[in-house]
Parts: sequence; C-alpha cells; structure tokens
Amino acid sequence: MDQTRVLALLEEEYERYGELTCDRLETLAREHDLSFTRLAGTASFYARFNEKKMGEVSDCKLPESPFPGEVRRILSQPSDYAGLRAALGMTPDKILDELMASGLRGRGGAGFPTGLKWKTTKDCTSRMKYVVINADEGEPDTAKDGVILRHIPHAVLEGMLICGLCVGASKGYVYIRAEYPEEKELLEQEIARVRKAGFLGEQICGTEFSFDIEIVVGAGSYVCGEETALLSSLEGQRGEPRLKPPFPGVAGLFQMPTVVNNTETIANVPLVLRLGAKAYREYGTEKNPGTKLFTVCGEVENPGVYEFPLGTPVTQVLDTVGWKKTNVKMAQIGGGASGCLLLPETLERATLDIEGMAAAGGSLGTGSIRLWDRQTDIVELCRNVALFFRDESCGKCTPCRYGTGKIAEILMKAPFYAARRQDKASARVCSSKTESEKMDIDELYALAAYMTDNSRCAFGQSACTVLLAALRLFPEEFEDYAKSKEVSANG
Amino acid sequence: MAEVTLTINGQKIKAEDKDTILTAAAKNGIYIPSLCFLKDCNQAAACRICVVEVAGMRGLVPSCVTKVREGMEVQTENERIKKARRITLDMVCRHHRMICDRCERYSDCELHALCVRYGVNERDYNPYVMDPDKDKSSPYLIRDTSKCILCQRCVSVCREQGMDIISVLGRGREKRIAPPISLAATDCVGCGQCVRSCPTGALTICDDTEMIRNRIRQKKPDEAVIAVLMPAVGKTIGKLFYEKDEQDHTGKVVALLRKLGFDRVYSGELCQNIYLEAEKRELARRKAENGTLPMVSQACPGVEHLIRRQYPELEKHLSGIGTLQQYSTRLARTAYAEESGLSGEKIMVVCVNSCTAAKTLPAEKTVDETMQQTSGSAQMRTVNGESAADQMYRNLTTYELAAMFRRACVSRFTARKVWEEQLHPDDFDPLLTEKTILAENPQLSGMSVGESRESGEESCTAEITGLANVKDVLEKIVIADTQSANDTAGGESEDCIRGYACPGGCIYGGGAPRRTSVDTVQNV
Repeated sequence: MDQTRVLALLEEEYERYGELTCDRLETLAREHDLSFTRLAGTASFYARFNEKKMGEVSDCKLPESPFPGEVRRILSQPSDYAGLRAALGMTPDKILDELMASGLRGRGGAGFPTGLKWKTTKDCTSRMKYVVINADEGEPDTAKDGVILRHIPHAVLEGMLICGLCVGASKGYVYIRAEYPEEKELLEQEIARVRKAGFLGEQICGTEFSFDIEIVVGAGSYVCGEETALLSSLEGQRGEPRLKPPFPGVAGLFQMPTVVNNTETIANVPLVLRLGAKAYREYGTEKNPGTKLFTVCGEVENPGVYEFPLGTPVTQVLDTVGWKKTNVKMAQIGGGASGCLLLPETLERATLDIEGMAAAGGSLGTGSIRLWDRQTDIVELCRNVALFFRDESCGKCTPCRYGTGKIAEILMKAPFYAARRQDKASARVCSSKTESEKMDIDELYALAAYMTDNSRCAFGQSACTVLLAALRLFPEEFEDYAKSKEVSANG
Repeated sequence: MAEVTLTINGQKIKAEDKDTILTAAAKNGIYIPSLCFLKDCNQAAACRICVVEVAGMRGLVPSCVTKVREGMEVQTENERIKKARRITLDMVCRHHRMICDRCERYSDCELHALCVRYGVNERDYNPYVMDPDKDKSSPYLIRDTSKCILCQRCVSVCREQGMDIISVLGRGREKRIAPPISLAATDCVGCGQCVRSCPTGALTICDDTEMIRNRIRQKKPDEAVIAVLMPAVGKTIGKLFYEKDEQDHTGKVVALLRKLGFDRVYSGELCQNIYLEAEKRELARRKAENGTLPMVSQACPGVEHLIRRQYPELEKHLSGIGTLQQYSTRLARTAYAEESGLSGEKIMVVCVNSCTAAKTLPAEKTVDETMQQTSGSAQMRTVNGESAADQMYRNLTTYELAAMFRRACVSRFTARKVWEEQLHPDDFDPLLTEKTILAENPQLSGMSVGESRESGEESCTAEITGLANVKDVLEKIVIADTQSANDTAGGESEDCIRGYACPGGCIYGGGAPRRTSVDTVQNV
C-alpha cells in the first residue's frame, strides 16, 4: 500500500471509533499489508490519536486582517498561472538560472538559497524525484502559511509545478497541519480547478512534463515541521528527524531526491518567473531579495499578517501596526517557541532580514513578531516554552528527551506552581526526596548549554533559545524567584 | 576509496574516507565510549555518549555517524565532553530503575560501566521511585521497561532478523520500547538476539538457574540431574570472565558442571553427530519413498517455532525427528536410565547451550521409532499431550551457567579465581554403550563416532543462519509448493535445508555472552 496514505488511514479509523486500540491497529495492518509493530509506533507518536492537544505557548488568535503592509506582492498574485506558462517555455537550466539570479532564500527559518537546494536535486540522476511543501505551520505565533493557503493557494500549486519542471520531479506532496481543514479544502478545490485547466496530470500543455499533487494531513506534532521529520511522517512513520547527511535533496522521501520547501518560499517562485529575477529584486536587500510575510501579535493595536520587503526596520513594521514603546518589555522575533527575545532598545537598530537579525542577536526564523507587555512574567513565559518543548520532543536522543523535561521541572519549582507539580505529567519525572526545592539557576544554565551542544536536531538545539535569552536579559527576575522560594521554604 | 589524514587528540592518523570518527579512532587504539551504537545494525546517534569535539563545528558531534574528513581536528575527551557525557548518563540513570545490586546484568552492564568511568554515582537515585514494569508472558525472555534506556538496539536487531516485533511507542519522555501487545501474543520465536544486544537488564533470559539448583539440592536417591553440554558454550563462556578470551573451554565447563552437582555430563557434540546421522537417514528414506522434499531440519528450535507459528503449511517439510535439544535429551536420558537403572521420569536432563529458543520445546507429535525400541525402561507416558519426560527437561544458557557459577562462588572475583586456578579441564562421561550406538546407527559400525559427520555427504544440504535469511528460503519453498501443485515440474535445488535462527549460528545464540557496543566497534 501507498505509505503516504497511512496517516489518512489512521485518521479515518480514529474518526470512526474515537480511539485506536491495539486490536483495531492489528486488523488495519493486516487489511492493508502493513507492519503492525510500526503502525502502532506511528499511531502512538501523534498527539491527534492520543487524546492530547498540540502544545501551545500562548494563544495567538489573529483577526482576519486586511494586510495593509507596505507592499502586496506575494499576496496579490492572480491565478492566471503566468509564471508557469513562462516556465513551460524555458529549459530547466534556464528556470534554475532565473531562480539563482533572483537570490530567493528559504522562508522557513534557515534561509538557505532556494536555487542551490533545487540544483542539488536537479543534478541527481534518479528516476523518481519529489517536491514536498511544508505547510505544517506548527510554530506558535506564526500564521503566514495559513494566510497564503487561504488567499493564494494557486501560487503554491504553481510554484510546485515550476519546481517539478525544473528539477525533473513528477510527484508533489503538500504536508498540511491538521488544524487547517479549511485551507486544505481550498487547496483541494484549487487542485481540481487546475486539473480541469490542464495544468496537472499527464503531459501538461502538450509538453513531455507530467506532474501530480497530493495533500497529506499531519496529525499534531511540532517536530514534523523539521524537514526530515516531515518526510518520515509523510512515509507513515513516526515523525522523528533523520540524520543529515544525506540531505533530502539527495535522499529524501522514500530515499529519493526531494525538494522540501516552505509554503511561503514556493509561493514566491511564480513571482520570480512572472516578473523576472531583476524585477523581483526590486524589493528587499542585496542578500535578502523580495518581500516577506510577518505575523505580528501580542501588545500591538492591529495584530495580523503583514507583507513587507525584507530589510525593513522592525520599528517601521511596528509603527504601521501600531505599538506603544513604553508599554513593551521585550519583543520575540522568529517564532513563539524558538524565537529570540530582544529588548526595545535593540529593536531600534534591527532590520528584518537574516543578517540584520543575526547582528541584533536574534534570528528571523519564520518572521513572527510578538511584543510582550511590561507585566509579563518572564519565568512563566520560559516555563510555558519549556512545557511546550517537553510535550513536543520526539524522544529520540537523550538530551532532548530528558533535558526538556528537566528544565520544565526546575522552572516549575517556582512558588506559585507548587500545586501544579502534582499533575500527572510531572509526577512521572522521578526526583528524590532529598533534592533541594530551590530553583537552581546554575543548573538551568548548564542544562541549556548542554542541550544546545548535544541535541540531535534543530528542535533540541533551539529548545533553550528563549530561556538563554531570558537568563541573559532578565537575570534578576530569576534570582527573585529563587530567593522567594528560599524564604517560603524557611518560613 | 580515498585515504584521509586527521588529528585525534593531537595524534595524526590515517583513515579511509568511509570511516566514521569512532571506527577511525578504534583502528588506532583510541577509545571513544559508545552506547546505542551497534555496528551495521543500530546507528541512530540517539544516546549522545560518543560525542566528540570537532574544531570548527558548533556543537558536539556524535562520532558514531560522523564521517572523517581531511584535516579534521578531533578531541575525544576534555572537560566539556566529559561534562556532557556526565549529564547524559545522569539523566539516563534518573529514568532507569537502578537496582544494580540485584540486577542480572550487574557483572557486565554497559550503562553501569560508563557510570563508573564517568563518576556518575548511583547513590543519588532512589531506585524505589520507579516501579518495575515487567512483561513475563514470554517463555523465553523477560522485558523490564523500567530498566530500558531507549537505545533501540533491540528494535534494530529484531528488524534485522526479519521479525520486527518490538516497536517504538509514544514520544518524548513517555517513549517506550516494547511490543504493542504482550510478548507471548506476538510472533516472537525466542531467538534471543534482542537479549544479547541489550546494554542493560531491560531484556533478560527467563531464568532457570534457581529451579535447577533446587532440583540438585533436593535430589532424592532415586532421582538424578544430568547435563548435555553443547559445543557453543565452551567456545564463548571464557568471554564472561575475561574480555578477550576466545579459547575453547569445554573441558573446564565439564568440570564446572560436575562441581555444580550434575550426575553426568554428556557431550552435545556427540549427540549432534548422532542427530545428523538420523537426519540423513530420514532424508534417504524420503528420497527413496518420494516423500516431501526439500526436508527442513528441525535442529534449531527457533526455526521450528518459526515454522509452527508463521508457516504451518510447511510442517510436512519438517524432518520429524525433533529439535537437536529434544533428541539429545532423549539420548542422554535413555543412556543414563540404562546405566543407573533409574526410571526415565525421575531423571532431569539439562541442556546446556547458547539457545534461548530451547526454553520451550514443542510437544512432540511423532515419536521416533528407533527411540521406542531402545528406550527400554525409559518408556514415556503422555500427560496433557506433553510427555512426562518433557517436563523433566530444562534449558540452561551460557549466560545463566556463568551466573550460577558466580553465585556458587560468592562473588565474581572469586569466580574468576576459581575459574582460572581450581577448574581443571575434564572429560565427558561416555554417552552410550557401544551396543546402544550400534542399535541407533547400524551404519556406524567399524567407524569411530567422530568420523560420522564427514562420511557419506552426497545429498545437498544448505545451511542458513539468521532468521531473515531462513524466512527468505521458507518463502521460496512456499512458492515452489504452490507451483508444483499446479504443474509437477518443480525446480529442485537443495534436498535439505538446515536453518539456524541466530545470525552466524549457535555461537552467537541469544544466551551467549552479550554483544556490546564496544565489541562491535573494535572488531573492525
């Protein structure tokens, strides 16, 4: 059976019976000629099938914003498939040259040049190649991919087709998170429409090029946003990150060369082809051409998703959205779970591009901006982030499996959470009775450094970004917590 | 294959470019600790014990999967690395049921050895916080998830064996390595390779030592306990006392078994030869009478279990003379009953071998005719479909034997001393009178028993090791069977298939000394 159908199969079964028992799984495995052992492993991995909620750091409810950003380029693409038409008249090498010249970089967080990524796959001589789109937007405080899927699903499909044409792939998958059912519906409608128009299927527009697209729905796992974990998940396995090298570009889905692109990255591709590389570079900076969607939320007047050219100063974006500097304690840029914290003073100088953010001591990440108000309890924020990582860790490597839990445990020692420690999740963490009840700041430092050093994938390595930044910026608040506990322990 | 030069701890070494840092270091005598790594089997880079520092790389890198590169500068042990390893071990220990003093793996636990090396102290943990989480349903092995350190070595080994029984369940801190259902309900045939690969006491063999010891201690005058010692035991047991010992210690083991109180110690090699003769006779009979071919040998109990559980349609291919252990047990019992005049039901036969699958033997369906003739006073009655004599059978693995010995010697240090100084190689008891051997095997007359194996090898026998390979061959037979049912012209290759469940044969059996991560690294 087609392995990419496994998640859908489990979902169907779960919907029908409300739970996945071993007996059901065994029957299912027999009916579909799957390994029961592995099917059970897969089913037990995802939050969806285990009555768990996907982890949350803070609620990020965005109103349907009118996108009043400075420019509307990505989001204003018409669905005339002009980019694809242009690409169909070009050789694959020409398409790649155009993309390289445009300087487009991945929008998922790492900022790897998209052209180079495609080239790796294009240079492989494999019979089967894949294009996989990462629409598993799990990062808290980020909603850009949802907006893209809702407003310009055609750009995503168009980008995939251009990618397939360029690298020689004939199959594409969109891995979409389970929390986006409407977006999935829209995408399905668009696929049907495109198929009717003759842009999908065998021999597109009378050329030799054939391409087909399928949608796979995730089942609630943050780590599946990591590209290799996403591929494992797509294959119906547990969503555990794989070792790199080999990179997906060489051995990805089913060990075949695979381009894995973020939704926003692929939505930029038709734009490059439509306008040409030179016109595309009109916005943005030399190293970071083009525009980007920024999710702005928290202590601002009009939260929402905004489009701005890369390299725009943070303050300019915030001025457009409306903010009160005096009311802001810090900003978190790059994602609600792994985005670095920046003080308002630093924000003045920072520009929203990869190098600019790095210079300010943060990272651009997924391009989310959250402002935290003066009253924010920094320890509580760290605690929420730690709990999020504890619940979302895949558990493959030791540092991340236990380190995330240990950090959460230490942060839970803060006074107001004594009651919470009774909850079932933390009771499992065994601690001896003699252990000090004090929140040990030195241990936090040591563990954070250890996890960054030793974890197997980017998930564990970035799990302590917020904590380390918080310890650096607001050490006195942690001290206060530690002291207040000592007092209450003595009294 | 290109050669690269790199520096490890300031020492310039040469390596092949396909080598990982771990193997390159091992080839040059530099030790890097490892835990979850099993060469060519489990290379998950999950435990993070083998991390090293590479100049120019941000974090610490796992040496087990990182390939060497020209000009690489590696540090294998400095304060930063030691600290990281200590934290890793500390966290593993906190989630491991530390009852080392009462653990079966006390003498050779890989986790414990690392804790000693890095000064991670078990007294910091309260072992009683965690409850044992045992699955005792299997007749072959016991799983205790509370001692599992999630290295996934057993998962990889089970997959390599083509069985794929153990799954990875849950995620994060709640991750568990276990079959989704109880072990007994799975297709597990008890090859024991998972036990052999487990670094801790999470997977252990069902222990028969206490039962056997009590039996010997409480023996009445009309009862006896005898042993049949298989050759694989002597070849590997030395490793349990000295790491590098690869000598054949069969003589010492004979002496040891006598010291432990067994009334007789018979040679398993001899039984094996006689068994092979019987098999050969059965093959000849099948050829003459146009019986079912190819014949599948039952010698290995693991393969026998596999066929009974997963390929019942192939049962007619089985040789029908029982497993090697069953056959040997019968031979030994008959011989001792004849010699001592005791009733066969009062004699407990302990098969000492490296096999975990032999912990249970299937109830016999056919009784060997030759046995009925020669068994004389040892006529067996049948109780609940299982012969009464079968209840007087026990299997003792190499690992258990060593444990039994250690317990008898108070501590493992005295055990080593006794092993070295007080045990002198001894000879087996003569198994059968000449008369019995000849009655068994008329064609053996005029030839010493040792030669029997080599003689008359005209039929084509294929020996296969490893369950995955055995499964492949069995699948082929199933296909050949269905084809020949349709048209009679079936392509014949081998007349007899002799499969062994453990990769590499009985020496690497599930009850043999464990396969450690360090072993697989250093045997390059």
